[in-house]
Amino acid sequence: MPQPLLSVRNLKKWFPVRTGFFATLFAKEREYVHAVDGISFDIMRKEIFCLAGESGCGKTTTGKLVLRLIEPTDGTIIFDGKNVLEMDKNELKQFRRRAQMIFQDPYESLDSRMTVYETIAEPLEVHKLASSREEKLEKVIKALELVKLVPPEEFLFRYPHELSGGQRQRVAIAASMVMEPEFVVADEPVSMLDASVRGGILTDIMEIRRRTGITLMYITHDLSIAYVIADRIAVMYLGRIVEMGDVKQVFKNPLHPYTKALLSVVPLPQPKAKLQRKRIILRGEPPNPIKIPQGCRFHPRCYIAKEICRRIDPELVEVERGHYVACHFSGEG
Amino acid sequence: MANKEPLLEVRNLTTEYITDQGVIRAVDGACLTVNRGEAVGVAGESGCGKSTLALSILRVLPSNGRIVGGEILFERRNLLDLSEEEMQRVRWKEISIVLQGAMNALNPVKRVGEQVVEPLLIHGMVDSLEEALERGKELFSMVGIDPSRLKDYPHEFSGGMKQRAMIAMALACNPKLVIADEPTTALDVMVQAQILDLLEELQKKLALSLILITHNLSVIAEACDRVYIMYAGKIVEFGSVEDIFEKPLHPYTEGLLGCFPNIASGERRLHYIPGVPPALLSPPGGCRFHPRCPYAKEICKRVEPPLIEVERGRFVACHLQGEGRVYSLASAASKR
Repeated sequence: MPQPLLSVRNLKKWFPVRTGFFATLFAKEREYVHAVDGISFDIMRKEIFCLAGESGCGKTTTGKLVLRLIEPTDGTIIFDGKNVLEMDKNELKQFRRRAQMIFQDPYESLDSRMTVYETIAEPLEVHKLASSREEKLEKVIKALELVKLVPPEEFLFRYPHELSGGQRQRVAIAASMVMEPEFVVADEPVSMLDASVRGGILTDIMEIRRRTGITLMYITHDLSIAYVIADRIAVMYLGRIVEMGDVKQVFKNPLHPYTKALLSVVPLPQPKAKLQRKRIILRGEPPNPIKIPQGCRFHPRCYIAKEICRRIDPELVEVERGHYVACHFSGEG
Repeated sequence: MANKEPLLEVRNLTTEYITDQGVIRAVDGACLTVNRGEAVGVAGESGCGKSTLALSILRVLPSNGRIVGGEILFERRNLLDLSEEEMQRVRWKEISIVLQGAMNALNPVKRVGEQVVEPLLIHGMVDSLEEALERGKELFSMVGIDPSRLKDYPHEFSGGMKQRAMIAMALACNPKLVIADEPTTALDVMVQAQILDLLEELQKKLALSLILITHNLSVIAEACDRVYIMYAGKIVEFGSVEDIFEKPLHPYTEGLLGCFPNIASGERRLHYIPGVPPALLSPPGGCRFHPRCPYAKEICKRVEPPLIEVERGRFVACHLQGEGRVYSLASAASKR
């Protein structure tokens, strides 16, 4: 069994709730936002692993945690056999070259005063990865070609405002790829782009994976995108993974009632679909991650919840090969 | 008493914006019909003009926008002939709008209830705030919010609740037509399903007509009866949702449909349309879609195709299609 590139165990991130001065003086106990509340998963090399869920489920926080952009409250993160949380300054610097992040907003993530060349060259300068100007230019051009911004000369000296949303996002991807990382966390890279442009970027991301063997953690709330791009998917709810497995398997045979409900309401480009499918519309919205429900955290909204669900928090267990679910009654309902 | 007359008929509408770089024709000769009780979708991507079309109907364009041609017939009255005073009696009472991102524009220091019933006060439909808030309780119930939450502030509402509140506001004065601009775009998929269901329920209960503006074709498939496809300021195709989705006739529609995966189909495809929508300051000559069109011919570069009825109720603006000669794109597509 090959060793995973990334191994996460029992990862937690609790953010203290900021309250006023007096409240702090007189409060009985600290309150926390349980953004990520004990998750474990492995990502194998060359895999596209999708972390999916609705807003507030903890997926973005998880992305930042695995790159150690924020410090976890608990848990372990092992990257290529090394403990990320015990890395010293030098090891961290090495890690940052091998593991990169692409953010959601192509309008915010680029510095408007830097040309395309300067943006993509910056990581090379920071990490001293190019010994001469020629080498720097060569690497920048290679990165532009990788993201299909060709001919590269046409884009080198443009500023962000001279680029479309899709082009800006490609520049952001190029800036992450120029260091030839092994692992990239992409947080909703196409959600702010027009539908007709998304497929192009996603296709190119998949080709980059094919050409460079890169491993990707793709974070999204859009299950249609997860469906077309992921190898494996982990569905998150209120800081936990509720279901995880091969994407085709999870979509074809969802075992957790939350996953089933979500998949049943994803709109389809098919007019009569509503009449033909059984949609499970949950009531309300996910609760406040400060007050996590007792037992199974999904039970207040669960349509098959029973007594045990109110008392005992189900563990994430493998119920069929590679398919994990955290539910006392997985597969039912 | 069935009324066969369309509720709203937009004819040949043209709206421009004056900018530093020049004049942008955001909507160019658009037409749109909404029948009573119907849910009509307007689909297209950024810059296609769909939001401008909505703002034009209510005549609430920003100061640099102006309607330069066409008619907007609401119950046979041309709204463009009305004075501003007369128009104010149409807004909220006859036609109302849920603007894109409106839920984030709620006044943070005013209670939600007071904001939702404001249209009632503005239109003098109630004598006091107390009376307005009574109606507010009804409205909140109607949209699925606990009436006791009228006194809450916006920050105490979730995204989904805020959007419900905006829908309640749009319904306050019992309009006949509601325009919803990207009503579910910023919302999670479960909340989206709740809101779309709510809109459908309200349509039935209140005999409401709806214009749903969105870039998401899957949402249109679920929520609309007919759909207009817009590209670069023009309507390129329209018809019943069944017809358009089953057999798109305009290459842009076909391309765009391919960009919305069907998770129930077993097919994991990733389609896209190469290139980007044109800058409206200087749109391409001929058909505006030709630079991105896989079927473009010589004529497409020179002559703008007219919007013509090729089958009953189906209109398309494309040189490939002609009256009575419907060219099935699927049969021509060699690389799919």
